[in-house]
Amino acid sequence: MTLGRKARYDGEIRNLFSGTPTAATLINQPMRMSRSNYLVNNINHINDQRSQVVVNWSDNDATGRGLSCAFSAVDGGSPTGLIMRVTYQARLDPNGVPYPLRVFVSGYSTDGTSCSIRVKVSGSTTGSATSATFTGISPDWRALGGGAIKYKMFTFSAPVTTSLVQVPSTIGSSAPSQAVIAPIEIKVEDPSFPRLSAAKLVISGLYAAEYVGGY
Amino acid sequence: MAVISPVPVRPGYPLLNEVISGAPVRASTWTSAAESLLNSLGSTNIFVPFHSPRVTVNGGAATTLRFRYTPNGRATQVRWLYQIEFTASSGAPLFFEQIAAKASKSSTIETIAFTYTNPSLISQVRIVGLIGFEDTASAIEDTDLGVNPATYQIREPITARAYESIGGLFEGATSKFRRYYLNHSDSDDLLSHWNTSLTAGSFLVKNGIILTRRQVPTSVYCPTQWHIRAAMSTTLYGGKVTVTNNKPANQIVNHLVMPNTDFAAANTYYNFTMPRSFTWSKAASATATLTRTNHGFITMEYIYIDSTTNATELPIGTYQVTSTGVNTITINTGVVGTASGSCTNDLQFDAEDYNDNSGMPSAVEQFYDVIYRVDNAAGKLYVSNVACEEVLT
Repeated sequence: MTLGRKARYDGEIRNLFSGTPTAATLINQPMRMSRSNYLVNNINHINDQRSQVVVNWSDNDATGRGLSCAFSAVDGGSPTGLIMRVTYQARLDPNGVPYPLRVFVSGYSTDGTSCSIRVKVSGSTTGSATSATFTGISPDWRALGGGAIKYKMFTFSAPVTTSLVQVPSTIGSSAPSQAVIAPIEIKVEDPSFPRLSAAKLVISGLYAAEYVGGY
Repeated sequence: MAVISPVPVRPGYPLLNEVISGAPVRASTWTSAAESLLNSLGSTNIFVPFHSPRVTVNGGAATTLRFRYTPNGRATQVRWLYQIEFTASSGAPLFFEQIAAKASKSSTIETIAFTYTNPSLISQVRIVGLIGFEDTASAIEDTDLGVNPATYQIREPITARAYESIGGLFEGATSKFRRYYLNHSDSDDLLSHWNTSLTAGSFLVKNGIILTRRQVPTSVYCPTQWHIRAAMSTTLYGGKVTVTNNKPANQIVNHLVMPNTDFAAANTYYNFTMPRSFTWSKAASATATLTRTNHGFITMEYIYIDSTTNATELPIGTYQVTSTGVNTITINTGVVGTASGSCTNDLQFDAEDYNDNSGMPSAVEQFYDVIYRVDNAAGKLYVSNVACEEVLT
């Protein structure tokens, strides 16, 4: 039995070390487990707070902007229809599992041809999500989450692949250390690529943010 | 070789059957806590969320993008991941990394530059993606709040001396982590970046998304701070930037007015921060007069007061404004009285709801717009950076 699924917020740690108790009053005295448990929960909460906005791009001011596969099928281009690729270092829960990622995507069709947008998040249980089809020729956030829901939560259920890189020592040792990084890749693709006409899907916005609460 | 993790792996939760009331804590437990804190205190803050500048760079040329932000003051290097494509040929985008040391771990607002030099002498390229990280302090420095391993012995109870040693880490952790919501930049090249000559305004950002971090359990909204980097084509006219939170009920706005006197030289960039503070007063009335130099508000717009020195006489909330002058507006507080003080206004962006699996505070997504305009169509306003970051309360 654990003490809590989420880190319990016990309030800010204020004056814990600058006020009482002082070193003089505590010299060589151990700390109670209950007190350390309180502190560990605060540390956990501080880590929770670190979930961050990974992508915030909105080019929704006018048609004619945004990103697309530059060329149609007859010109070649990315065979996967890859339009955007973002790599970030995920924050991990105690089991090595990344936090969920909330994703919005915006796009439009250059000529009203039916389009959809596919988003892939590497290592996620969700894998990929494809938006509802649309024919709009103006930038707008598209329904990626099923029904009319615009956002999609990409969740992870297993530790992702991590790799080690060498860095200078952090804690007082002259020996080098190794750092663990957990890169996650977000891809935005045109699932209908290569297209046989001049019609294009244009990506005009992408938003992705880690989320640590709730689950 | 020790293995550390700049990826903040949270320590596991203590199990109930592991808790022994009144027993001392092992030093190794404290070490784990200290390492966790070290990881948290300086690693991989995304201060420029990924965005697409779409800046083109000719063969052999260079371009510089500048970003305004307030560092957390814990990182010693910045790392840029960027994506480019050739404008005149097909093929998948190319991805690169650039690392730069920071001169100091300042926590005051700064402008940081990303410079890309096109190594090709012929081909024009376009920067189609860019993300910026702050990296952890990776070596012991005088200003680090570190742990000296010599002060503890594994499996020994922690003593006051070691308690002092890692105390600095806890002190460092008491200051919160700022979250960066938005940081869009365009080239500093006047010929290519965002500009407008419209007095009615143009969109810098349309339908953007911001969901704020819930700083304390009772927070419903959390404040944001906006930064703009702008230039004018002339010293005769100024410009204005407006951010609107398109809430379903009342659209909350705030303005940054940049009179021509703010632009000492034409075609030169200056940094601006959108003001948030007012002074206010009322005399035996429910009507409060709010004063800020060049407030920019227009009658009928909505303002959200998020903090005040007297919440009885000027309650926190949303008000419709009447503009009574360049520097003054009035609002109906609904409370008759005589009082004065200061207050701040904010854009009232919703905070995440940690009780919900999605974190979304409502079923209706809220979007915001950023509009920029000039005083006179004879002038041209250039903006090379728009940034939004968390205000720590």
